[in-house]
Amino acid sequence: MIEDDTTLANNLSAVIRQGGFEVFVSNDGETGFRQAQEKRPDLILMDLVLPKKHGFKIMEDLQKSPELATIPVIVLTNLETPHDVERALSLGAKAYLVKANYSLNEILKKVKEVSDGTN
Amino acid sequence: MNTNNLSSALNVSARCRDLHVSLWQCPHFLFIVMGAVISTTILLTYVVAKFYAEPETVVSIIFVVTVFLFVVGNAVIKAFEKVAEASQLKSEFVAIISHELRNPLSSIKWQIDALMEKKEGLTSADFVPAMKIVNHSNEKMIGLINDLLDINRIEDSRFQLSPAIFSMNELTDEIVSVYEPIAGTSNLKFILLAPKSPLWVMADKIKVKSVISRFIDNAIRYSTSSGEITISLEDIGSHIKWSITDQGAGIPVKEIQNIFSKFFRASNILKYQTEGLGVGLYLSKYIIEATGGTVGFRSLEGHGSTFYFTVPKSKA
Repeated sequence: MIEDDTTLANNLSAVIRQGGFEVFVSNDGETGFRQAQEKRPDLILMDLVLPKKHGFKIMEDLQKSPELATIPVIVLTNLETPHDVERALSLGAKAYLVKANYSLNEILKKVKEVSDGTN
Repeated sequence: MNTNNLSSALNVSARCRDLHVSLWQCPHFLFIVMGAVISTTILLTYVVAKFYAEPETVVSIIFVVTVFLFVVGNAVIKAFEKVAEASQLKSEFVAIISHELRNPLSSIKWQIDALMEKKEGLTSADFVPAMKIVNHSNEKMIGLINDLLDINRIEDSRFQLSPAIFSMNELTDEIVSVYEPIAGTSNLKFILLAPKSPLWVMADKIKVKSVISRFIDNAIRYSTSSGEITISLEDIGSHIKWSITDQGAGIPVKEIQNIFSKFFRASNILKYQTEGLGVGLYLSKYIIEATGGTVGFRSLEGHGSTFYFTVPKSKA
């Protein structure tokens, strides 16, 4: 999970852990990308507006590496311009969720869906 | 079109005011100018051709008028571009505002979510931190809305200050004590350099407080973790000078000229910043200048910045 708002990250990671997942949290884009390289997670759940490295840049860099390009990405953000949504989907995002419109459990459900779909 | 619509369509100056552009930058007005020039020219050319009948004169008039129309035509295109640009800025601005409002809103939503999940056996140990976050998010939204209202008041020339006499040292102490714990979490230390005796000024205390808070907030936000933030107060004759120096990122040279403009961060906020509207310095400059002071800064990229402002001393 790459999320700079630590309270949001804590709340959400707790719920996802309860759902039976192992969760690593990074609070900025650079660390997040590095963690993705080291840990090779089954799924990346990330914000777009992140310090040090923007979410789109992370997705572009993931796409460049053949091993990382296959990791499914769920974008979880409060941005919602058509341009952002389009760009995220074109960079391979499996889902685009607007934080304010989803409850913690709905996000967990989406995480399960996407990870089941790819396994 | 009923008469109301017709008269409002014809009220060009009102239409141009709505677009927030001057008459000479307003497409509606420029079209009327073009129309007036064309019809006058047709009449004039007719009169000249009929009574003076010198082809050279007619040709010169037409030539001069064509040049003039070309210039006005260009102005019309520029005016449309300006209006289109304003509308583009507006939609970017709406995107940023909704993002900035949704962040605290989703914080609140998820806090409540987490509490509802537990439901049974909720204790004050669960409630207190959650309420703190809800409260903090709420404050953030209030601040955001107040900034927006201030901008709106400035644009409609309705912005008003209520000056009173107060001590700058006291106000600074008060604000610094609020920010100390926040700075502490990033290992930042405040150093306060101020004379012991009160420095009395005549200004709108609440607005000056908002300026100081923004300057301190920026210093913290742009500081690398650990370091010092120095705040100093000086009597410089007719004014009191307040300044803050950080050891942070500094301002990139190419951005220096835009730093006080409204929504300065609008173009890059979503890429490099995670919070804020980019209106803080714009509002601060406006408030200080309306108070009769000045605002400025020195910055060296990679080494930090100093921001300062002055406010008039009280005459009493």
